[in-house]
Amino acid sequence: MTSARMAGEFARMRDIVVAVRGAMEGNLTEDMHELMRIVQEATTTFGQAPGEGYPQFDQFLEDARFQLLSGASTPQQVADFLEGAAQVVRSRTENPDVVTVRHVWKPTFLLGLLAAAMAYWVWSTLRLGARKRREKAASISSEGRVRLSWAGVAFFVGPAAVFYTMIVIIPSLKSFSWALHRWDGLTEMTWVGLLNFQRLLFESDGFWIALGNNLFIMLVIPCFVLPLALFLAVCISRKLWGSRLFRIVFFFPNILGQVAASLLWMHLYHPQGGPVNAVLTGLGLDGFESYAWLAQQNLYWALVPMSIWAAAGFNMILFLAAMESIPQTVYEAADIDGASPWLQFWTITLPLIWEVLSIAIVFMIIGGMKAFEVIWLLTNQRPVTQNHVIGTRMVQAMFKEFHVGEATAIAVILFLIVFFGTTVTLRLMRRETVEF
Amino acid sequence: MVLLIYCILILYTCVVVFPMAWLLYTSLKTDRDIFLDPFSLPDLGNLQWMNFTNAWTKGHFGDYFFNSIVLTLTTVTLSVFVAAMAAYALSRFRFPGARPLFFYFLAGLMIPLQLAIVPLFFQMKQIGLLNSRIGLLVAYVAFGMPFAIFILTGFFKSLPSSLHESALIDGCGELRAFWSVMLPLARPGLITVGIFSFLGTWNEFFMAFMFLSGEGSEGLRTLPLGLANITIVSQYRSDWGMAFAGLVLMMMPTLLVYSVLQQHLTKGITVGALKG
Repeated sequence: MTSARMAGEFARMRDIVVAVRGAMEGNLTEDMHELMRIVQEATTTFGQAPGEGYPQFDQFLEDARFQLLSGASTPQQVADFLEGAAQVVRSRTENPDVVTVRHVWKPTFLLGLLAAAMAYWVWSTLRLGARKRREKAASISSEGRVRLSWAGVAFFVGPAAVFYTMIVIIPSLKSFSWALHRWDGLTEMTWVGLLNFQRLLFESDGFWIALGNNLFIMLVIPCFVLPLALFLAVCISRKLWGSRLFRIVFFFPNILGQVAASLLWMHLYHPQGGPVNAVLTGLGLDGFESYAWLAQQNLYWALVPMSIWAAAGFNMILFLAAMESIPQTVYEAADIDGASPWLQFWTITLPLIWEVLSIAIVFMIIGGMKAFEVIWLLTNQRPVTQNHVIGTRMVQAMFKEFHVGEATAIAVILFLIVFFGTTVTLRLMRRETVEF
Repeated sequence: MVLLIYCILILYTCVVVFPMAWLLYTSLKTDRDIFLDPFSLPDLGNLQWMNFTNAWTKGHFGDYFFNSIVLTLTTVTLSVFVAAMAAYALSRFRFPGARPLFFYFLAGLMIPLQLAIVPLFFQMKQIGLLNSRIGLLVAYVAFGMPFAIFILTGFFKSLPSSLHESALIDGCGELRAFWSVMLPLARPGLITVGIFSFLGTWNEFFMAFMFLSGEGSEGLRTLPLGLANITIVSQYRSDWGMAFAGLVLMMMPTLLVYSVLQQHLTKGITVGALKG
């Protein structure tokens, strides 16, 4: 290892994420030691890191370290980057109430979208509410049920209500108020109005990068998972021998949970000992030798195969349940009319499972917005700015930067997107349900 | 046509099964063998059971396993009982505010964990439940409530009311009727809720990470938490065997539960999704 360029190449080859983390722990294999020596020398050349003592600087240092190790920037560029970052942090500390507007279109668009969703939600709630009340009055009545005494109510419902109110409802409501404050978790809370939201929406680059990553998980990954799940469901729904076995097997990865799935795929994707690269090079794709799937720029595309593995079976089960409720006679009639299987799928199956499809999409929206474990673990618990999602950003704001107010503001935005995203999707996709 | 479908299904089966099978047999190989040839089967004469004993003792997986088991079992039992009582009263009795109360519980289905977690963290800190098993247990039970009550009210509603009435006529008190007549009848529902609670708790990372990261909580950490740390360390120490063995240990109980109760689970999912 003779030059910085070589060091960069080495880091790329060995998987930067691991290299950095290993260096942090001071627990290195021999060849990494050499690499870290070069990096250490680079920092001594440029002097003390400028963010000493400012927790907000942590993320910038992390980014700088990655840029340096991956060879994406020269040491001079990294020094400039750190200097710029230091200025941002310094001016933030000196004038904590000033927001520099750096983004205009994205927040306008997001706020507009949320406002439209809110208006639609209110409008459709009023419209549905009136109809439902009429229907409910006719169908469900609690007549004939035994009256329960107050002691009985307290005994039966009390424990659940107390747990749920104390742990879920009260903290959730507190979040809305905390989001309007500045607090480091120790000293007095100060009221700052909408400052946290302004900073996130109009100033922070990191927030928009994170939201973009959430959008990738919500929109791009379902484009791979849902069609495959639908295809598998169609295959199995023909009464094949062994279809029960296929169901059991395909569904299993889903229940292993995100932690086990992430860690398993971390091993599978390992640049050297991982079977993914071994298979690909075995197929003659030499470009994949030591390919770092989980490096910063590849991470999100690497989630696609993993998500298919973990989620396709779950969605397939949902679709199958809906398909099985379609009576066979409908297909028989279509057969007699000479409709091809392809036509039958588009004209019978798809419209009749529409409702379940909308539910699958809602699950994907919720899962995509709430994503945390996968990113947190695959980035070795230290994501760079480019790899954050909203969930990891929140943890970063709370535990590393001690911006409790900002963390709750992120949580509130996340809640609003999940809430309006799901309710509006469900209502827009609602059609007249067919009863058999 | 049928042949083509079989080919596709079997191909996808391989894709699904291979990672797990690979993990299983690789956990019995030496680190050297893993690096030299990721595919080769372990040397049968020299199976590395050491990986498992290492993980169990040196990697503290024995502790993690014990913590996870304790936490999961208490969470499942407590949440099934508490939710069953509430669901029973909400679905089979008349009292002012029953409907609003039901919707109050259902609203929890729309609340992401992240919204509550930050204030909850400080709340726990204030009452001294941070870095303790009780705190985590209480949080798991509370966050499981909405789904459990939602599923169980559906089950209790579907039970015939004549049984309940005859139990009362035979001289059972309300409590007795609930305990020895209605609860056994709702068993399928209880099992479904229990499985979901089990899987949710066994694999839970976020809350455990939030509440058990402080000083002095090392001995309380659960499997996902301990495994995450060990895997990351093992990556740069090139010490894989232990991490693989640990991952196998974490997956085993899930596999066991799934193979026994698989039908309840898939049924529960479809019921939950279609009615939600």
